[in-house]
Amino acid sequence: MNYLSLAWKNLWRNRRRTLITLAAMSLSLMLVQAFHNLSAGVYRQMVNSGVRAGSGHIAVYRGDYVRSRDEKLSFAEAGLAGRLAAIPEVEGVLPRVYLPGLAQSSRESRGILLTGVDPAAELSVNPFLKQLAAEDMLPSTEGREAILGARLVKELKIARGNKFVVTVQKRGGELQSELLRVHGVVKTGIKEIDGGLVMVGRERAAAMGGIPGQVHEIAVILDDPEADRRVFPRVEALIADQPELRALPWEEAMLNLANAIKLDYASQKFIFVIILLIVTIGVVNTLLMSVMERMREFGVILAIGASPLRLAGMIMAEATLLGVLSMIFGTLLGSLATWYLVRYGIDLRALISENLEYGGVVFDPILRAIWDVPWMLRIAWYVAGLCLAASLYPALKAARLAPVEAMRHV
Amino acid sequence: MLLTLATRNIWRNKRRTLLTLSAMVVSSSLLMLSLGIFSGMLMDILASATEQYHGHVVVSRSGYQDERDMFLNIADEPQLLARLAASPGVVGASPRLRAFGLLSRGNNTYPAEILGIEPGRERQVTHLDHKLIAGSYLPDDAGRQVVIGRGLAEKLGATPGDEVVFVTQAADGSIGNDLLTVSGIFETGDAGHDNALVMAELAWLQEVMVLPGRLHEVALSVADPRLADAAAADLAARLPADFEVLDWGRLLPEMREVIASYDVSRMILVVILYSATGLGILNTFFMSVLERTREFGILMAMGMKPWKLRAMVLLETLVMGLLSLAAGITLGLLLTWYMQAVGIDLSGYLTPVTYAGGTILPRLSAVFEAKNIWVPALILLATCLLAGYLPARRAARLRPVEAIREN
Repeated sequence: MNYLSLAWKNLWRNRRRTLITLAAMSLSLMLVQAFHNLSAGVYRQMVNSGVRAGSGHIAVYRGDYVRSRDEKLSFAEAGLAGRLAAIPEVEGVLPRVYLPGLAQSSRESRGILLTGVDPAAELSVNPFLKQLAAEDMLPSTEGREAILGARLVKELKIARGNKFVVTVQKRGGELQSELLRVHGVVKTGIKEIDGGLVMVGRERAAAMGGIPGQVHEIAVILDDPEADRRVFPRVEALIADQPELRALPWEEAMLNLANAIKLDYASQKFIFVIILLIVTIGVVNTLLMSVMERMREFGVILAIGASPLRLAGMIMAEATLLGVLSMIFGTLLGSLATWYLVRYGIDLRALISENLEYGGVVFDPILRAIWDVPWMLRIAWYVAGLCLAASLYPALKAARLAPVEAMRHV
Repeated sequence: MLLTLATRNIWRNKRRTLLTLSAMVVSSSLLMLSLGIFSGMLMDILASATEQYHGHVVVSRSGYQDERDMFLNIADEPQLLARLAASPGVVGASPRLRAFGLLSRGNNTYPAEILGIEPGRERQVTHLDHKLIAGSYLPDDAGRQVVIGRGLAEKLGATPGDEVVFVTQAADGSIGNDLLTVSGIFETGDAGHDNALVMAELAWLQEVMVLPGRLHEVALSVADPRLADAAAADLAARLPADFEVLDWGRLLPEMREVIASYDVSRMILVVILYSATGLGILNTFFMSVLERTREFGILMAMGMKPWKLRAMVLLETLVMGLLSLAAGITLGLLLTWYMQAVGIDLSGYLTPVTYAGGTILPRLSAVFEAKNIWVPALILLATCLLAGYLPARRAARLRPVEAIREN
């Protein structure tokens, strides 16, 4: 007996029920695939922006600086940035100095983070500086020019070209104050940056902190985020002669961002489980209905000699076909939806009041998907597998029928 | 008569009916659970942002929240606080003065934001008192005692009982400074606050800043944070024009962005849930009626009118729908309650997440919300009525002979 052709015929004996079940399964599969790809796209965008402004895909720190942010944990740069930049697949290397301090104008004072950078490297990589014109970038690593967050400039009641004082603590413990000039203003849409950023040349910051030639962080930006597995060992090799230094992947250096993504993904997976449960119930119901309405027929088949196993196999063949069909249709639809989301995305600006200003730098208001084909195929097979699993109970019921009672069934 | 016939029909084929009901019960309860989890996640995000520092609504002088200008202040008047606290929906009000300066201990000096509060009132708005990891919260007559963030404490090497020095620029242009005693240390998970925030007594800070009888803001807590914008608008209408009333949406634009993108995610998932559930129920009810076409044919042959047939089927469907929804709602509530009380702990795999001004604990939980129960119930009831009606209408249009011959 050809199970598949018989199963195919049986499915279409009740075209309407089969089509509704296919629609439920295919539609759910499509939306789950599209949603996953959208989430993956959003996560990737978050990571790309985050690592460029923060730790890079790989970061070099001394000791547990990543957690404590203790500015005593600085280390000599000594050409390390150049050696890191020479590694293939490295897009940029950003050595940075971080010193908490107090910024003062004649009217106000504010806690700030004095950030020392290499201007040329930072400008080309850091998304916070995307809207900064080249002439507004710091001209050197030693000058008294500073780039401030927009909110900080406003709060101190100063403007471009004005002078202000920054006080930080030197390595030896005494306070060091310097007069700086506002050279550029950035607006990122992130309150902490806009309200607390003072960016100066790296050597100026290090000198103020009493640690000339030293840095707190070296952020390594990669051409391709997937390259971290190849580049990481080479970074570790370059710092192997300094045991106190540690290389960290961004997931550890930016634990907060990594955890935000994990938390979101965990809740998403939970909801997906519920969705698949609901779909499974629909399939079980469909197959049970199908079995129950054919009791008499099964009775006749059993009476003329079919084995219960064969009957169960026939039902499972029907479920398999149903699963494969919905897998195919669902994935095709999911691909269409993903194509749309990759090309056009979802524009959040249509959902938010117009007066809400965007940083335009860190948070892209258009959510875009990426293609995660392996995952799409995996979930499609899960759905087909669920369909088969859903058929076990109906098949069992059918196999247990007593022929005489079954034939008597209306 | 029709009702009697309908209820009798329901139980004539127990197996089919139970099968139909169970599908609807399980589907509807899972749908309600999912919606409860979405609400739970949203409330977690909101609570973390607004209940650790900001409050739900903030009243201040126009421009203060934008500029943090120490001269943009308001009078510290008992009747102002009383009016704010008595406003509809407001459950707590806390007066505050804010200063920025340097905090020192030994050889270590760090910038700090000092928030002057009245501890008893501040507890109504924020829950920093639940975030202490050492020492104790400010007593009502704190004097020169302060509570500081963990990161700041570590950098200063300070523990409860230690003395620290605060230096700032006062309103009269002088250098204000004083010796303070650390009463407790808090940790919120938000590095910005943990590394720089100090909580002190309002009266003491007013004196140091030479701003006697003045406040920078009054932070309010409202019963339902999602209605904070309405509460803010209501308050703004009743305060003088130079006052500014901001809800959390305008205080924390990043949080609004996060919630907007979250709303998109939720919308997509809700569409999935409703379509999967709806199609499943449509299939179930549709087929359970469709397979009785022959039976309907016989009824019509015996003289039942087509409209009575449709009415009978609708009644059957309505009764089954109500029964299954009653059970589904019960199960949905139980599941939601379980997720609310117990939840799923992810802390073995995540640490708290600081996100757009708030800190979210690594836990999946749900929140009960009436709308998450009655909206899906109505939609699913409408779905099964539609599913029952269509095949019955089709059967009713058949001539009895054709109907009997079918199947």
